[in-house]
Amino acid sequence: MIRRFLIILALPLALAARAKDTIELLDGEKITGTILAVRGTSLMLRRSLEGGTQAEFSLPVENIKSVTFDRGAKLFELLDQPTVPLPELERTWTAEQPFLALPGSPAGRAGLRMADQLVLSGERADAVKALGALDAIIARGPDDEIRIEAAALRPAALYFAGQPEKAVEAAREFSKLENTTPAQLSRARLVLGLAALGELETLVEENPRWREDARVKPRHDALKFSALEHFLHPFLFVRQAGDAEAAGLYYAARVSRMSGDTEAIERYHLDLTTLHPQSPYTNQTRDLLPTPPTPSTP
Amino acid sequence: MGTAPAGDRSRCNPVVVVTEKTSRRNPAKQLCAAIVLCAGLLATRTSAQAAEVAANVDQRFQQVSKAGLDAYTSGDFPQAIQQLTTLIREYGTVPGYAKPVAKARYLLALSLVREKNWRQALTEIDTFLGSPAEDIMGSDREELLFWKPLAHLQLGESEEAAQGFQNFYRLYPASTRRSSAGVLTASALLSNQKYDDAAAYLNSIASQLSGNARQQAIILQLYSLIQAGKTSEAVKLVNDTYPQLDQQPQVVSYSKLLIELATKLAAENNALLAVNTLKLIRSRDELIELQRKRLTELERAIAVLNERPDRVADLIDARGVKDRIDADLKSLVDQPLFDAQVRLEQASRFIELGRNLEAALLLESMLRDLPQNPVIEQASQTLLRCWYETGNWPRIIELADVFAERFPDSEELPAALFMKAQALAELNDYDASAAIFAEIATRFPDDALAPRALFSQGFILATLQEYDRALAIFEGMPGKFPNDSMADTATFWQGNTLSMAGKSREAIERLAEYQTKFPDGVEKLPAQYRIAYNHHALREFDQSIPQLTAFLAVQSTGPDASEARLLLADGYFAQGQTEEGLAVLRDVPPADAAYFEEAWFKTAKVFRLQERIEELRAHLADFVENYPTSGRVAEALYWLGWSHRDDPAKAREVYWDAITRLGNDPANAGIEDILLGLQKIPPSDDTELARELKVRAEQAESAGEFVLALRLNWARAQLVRGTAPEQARYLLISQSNKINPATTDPRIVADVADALFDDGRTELAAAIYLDLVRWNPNSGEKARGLARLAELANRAGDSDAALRWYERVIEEAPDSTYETAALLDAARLLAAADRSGEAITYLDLLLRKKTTPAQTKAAALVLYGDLLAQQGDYAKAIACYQRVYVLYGRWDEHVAPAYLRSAKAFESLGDTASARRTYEEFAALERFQSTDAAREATTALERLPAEGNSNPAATTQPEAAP
Repeated sequence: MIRRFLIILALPLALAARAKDTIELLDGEKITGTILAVRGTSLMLRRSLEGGTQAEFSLPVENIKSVTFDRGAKLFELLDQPTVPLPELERTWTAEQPFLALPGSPAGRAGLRMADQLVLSGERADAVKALGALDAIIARGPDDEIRIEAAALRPAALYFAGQPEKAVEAAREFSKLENTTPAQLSRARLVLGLAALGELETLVEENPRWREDARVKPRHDALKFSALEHFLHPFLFVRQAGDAEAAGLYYAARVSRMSGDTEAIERYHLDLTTLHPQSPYTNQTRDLLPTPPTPSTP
Repeated sequence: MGTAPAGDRSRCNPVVVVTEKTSRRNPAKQLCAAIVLCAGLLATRTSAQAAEVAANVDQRFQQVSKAGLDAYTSGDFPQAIQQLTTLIREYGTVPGYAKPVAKARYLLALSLVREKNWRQALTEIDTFLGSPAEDIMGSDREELLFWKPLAHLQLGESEEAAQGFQNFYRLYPASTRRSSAGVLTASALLSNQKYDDAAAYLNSIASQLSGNARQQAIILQLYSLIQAGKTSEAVKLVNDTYPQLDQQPQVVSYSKLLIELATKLAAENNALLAVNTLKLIRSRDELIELQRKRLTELERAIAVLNERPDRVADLIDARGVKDRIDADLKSLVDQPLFDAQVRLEQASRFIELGRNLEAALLLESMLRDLPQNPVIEQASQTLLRCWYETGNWPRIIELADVFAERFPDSEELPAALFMKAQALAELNDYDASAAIFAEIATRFPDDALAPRALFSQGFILATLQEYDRALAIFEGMPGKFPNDSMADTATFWQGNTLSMAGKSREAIERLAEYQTKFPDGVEKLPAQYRIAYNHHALREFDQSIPQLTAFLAVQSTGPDASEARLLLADGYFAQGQTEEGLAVLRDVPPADAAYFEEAWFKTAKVFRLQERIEELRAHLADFVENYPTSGRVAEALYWLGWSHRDDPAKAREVYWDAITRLGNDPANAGIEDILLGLQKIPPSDDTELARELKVRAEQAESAGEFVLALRLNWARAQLVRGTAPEQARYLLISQSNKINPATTDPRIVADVADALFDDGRTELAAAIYLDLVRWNPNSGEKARGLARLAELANRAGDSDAALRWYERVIEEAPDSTYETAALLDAARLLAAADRSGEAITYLDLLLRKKTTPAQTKAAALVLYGDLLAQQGDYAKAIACYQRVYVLYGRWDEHVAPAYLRSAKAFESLGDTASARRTYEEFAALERFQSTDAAREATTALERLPAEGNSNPAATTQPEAAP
């Protein structure tokens, strides 16, 4: 076995790390030690030699079936929580990113959750940061599952990062992929919806009396239906869609505002208060409601 | 080990342990399971216990106990019962035998259980449990404390069963049967229909359960909550447990409960949560796959349990679950339409909520994703109706085609096509709509929709003023569909179409036929009205007056009634019955706004013609006062002013009064017309009027009445622009900050923008033109805005933008004064961009238009000639040029190039004689003699041979110009 490793450096015992990471090779053999880094296509590992000497080894990543980090269980437990504060996700991503390519690394999960939160903020700087993480996951993620997950989020990140055309293109490409889940698809559709909403907003801005304009109304209606269809996808088709559903309902309300359909805004607000009472989108949708008339004083 | 709860089991019975059911189905199996259970219990203990018993009793005792035990271990429970009963009877009261007798009673109880002699078993268990503690083993006590409530459960004594299991659960926290006892407690409570108690109990022990017991408890808890009507708690439980559905052994049961929960929620008018619950249900294929996976795991577990006599209770439990899963799976496999039904249910809930869009999207996914089946065919129809309700016309057209392709033999195809035709009509594509209606009537003559389709085709044709074709359809309908109710309407429409075509006499005859044929027809009243209407059109007032009066007696409200009143009043006036006519006009209600205003002005006209000036003034003043937003206010004021025609000062005062009172409200349309009307009041004195406009504008400005100030200044600019254009321009420019594009009259907006444009302030002008176009899609001024925006872009060298604006002028203002100029300018831009084909298309359009000004036509012909010459088609080019100087000789700026280019074209053809002649003709024109063009002609003549050289192929017979 030792021949498959390249010993880089032997160290005195005092420098030995205490962590016990486990690496399972493709042939089923398991090795314990401390994973130090991934450099290029090699994993750097520190482990004890006979006699207690510590040495660093290099192991080709392609030979690794999975890695169980000593700290992994704790991190995965954290990442399984329904809500994790963004700073914690950012710290985890920064710390684990070097090990992203390793199967079993929590880096991908941390990056995805961080990107998810950043994208949903809708802020450009956040989206740019999210895009960086997603591109890294797509490039170096250990398996298709996590890369597809990142690809599903990427269009939204591009959109909020101020690259709407690329976002729409990425969303369209993603929509063509097979083996995607409805939840992933709904993220791509969110972007297509946002693009349609953007066009609709421009159209209404340029044609405030679109209702009276036979030339504009069909285009308005087409954009409205297109945007709503995309935004309502999680609400109608994705089980326990969470934030994606809430976001979709909020944007559906925005579309309805463009059409002056206050009843629809009220409906979507009611949906949100019923299904997502704690979501920030619920408050944002409330702000779209027409202002109730001020009671007249006697 | 448990029973299904009582109550309605037909819908969904999720109970997971089904001994009773299993016993009923397979008593031997159940019995065997019970035997194995006790054998298992004995396996660990009987040898030692038997020795203990044997060592302490006499031989008789040993014989009987051995026989009992042998029978028990061999599974001969009747024999075991007999032997053990004998032993207990003979030694039950013998001192020193208490312990072995208690043990025998323990085995007797278990034997009775296996013989399903529940009552007797209970007696023995109770006696055993009543024995002094020192005489019985704790493990035996635990064992029988578990079987006792089970016996109660089997006897239908669910209350005692629940108490017993609850007691066991409390007493033996470390028991391997504790979870089962917890679940069985709930089962017992459910048997007693104590849904609330079961739900609460399961909730209280939920955190202590794990593994399969936890999953079984979830099923029971969900069932309990649904049955207890605690839907919000059920929803919460679903939200909490759904993410772990992959661990649930009974996924199909869980899904069925979701359907039941959704039904309950919908019944509580909570359709939103109902659809959200239905959304959680996985597809049939997914459920079957997942359930089979769980079943395989369970079967493996059962195989292991089969080898573990000490786990008989678990084995029975597992088998119960398996039976349930088998039944669930079979039921699901037998429902090939499961997915379609679930989605249809979701859609139905949305429809109930009036949310047709959501329903449509769900149904559309069905049509797209699921295989063809009758449910989907029906759903497709609902889908079309949902899109119809949402007004998504293009989608209806698209989906009707998809439907026709997927279900070509469907009975619903005519309905799908019918909606497509309706959608086409909504999109104003009447020709296509009529064609589809015709197709329905022809392809499906026996369908119930065929008469309606044919009628609709006729109706559209009548609307398109194709009266003959419409009439032919309506005439053919009664013969084609004699028994259909539409035959009635179609017959009426024969008369109505003739009426619309202006053939009043024929219309009356046809409508009278209708009345005879359908004395109580659905169109009885409209027919009555139309006959009167046509008599009125024929000026047969002696007929129309009584008929209209009779009609109004039956139908006193609605648009027909208001129109009838106007006709009746006209009839009275024509007969000289003025007061009767005026009385009728007073009855037209304001709700029918157009008729109401018409009635008001008819009344005014009568007052005017009869010189009833005071009444006229009061009547018109009343209108101005009460309907200031009407578009006819200016008309009212005009006639009000007219009533003071002998006193212009008074007339002006009336105008000014209205302007002052109403002029600052932008909603009062017509103020601009009133201001323009001021200028027409004789004797007109523009200087004085301009001064007054100025003073009043300043007053309005000081008073903060900026809308009024804007209107007055605009009127002043209109007044002075002929004599002082600069002043008018600067006056308008000064008003630019008062413009509100949403409310300001588009004439004012356009004039202010023009002033800025003329002053070279193009950026601001462009912004205002853009607002003009944005806010006035149907105003005539939009064309001005579009044309100016094109011109500005053109001047700025942005050809693409200019072309886009020109195209909008051509498309959106096809008959405006700006269209022809736009066509020419667009053609020029296209020609410059080497897009001569498109340029020629525009020029053709321009030259075909009768409204194109001559000067524009001349310019277009020169350009046309140039484009043809570029293409080498000199003969046609010459024809264009010649047409300019022959037909449009007045326009020198086009005549000169036309001559020169015509001559050059002849030269290109090698026809120097014709070229020379053309140059000579042009050079001879006196008005051009000192021009560069004339000099160019002279130079050319010097260059050309004196006699010329005719090219026979091009001897000066140019082809026809476009």
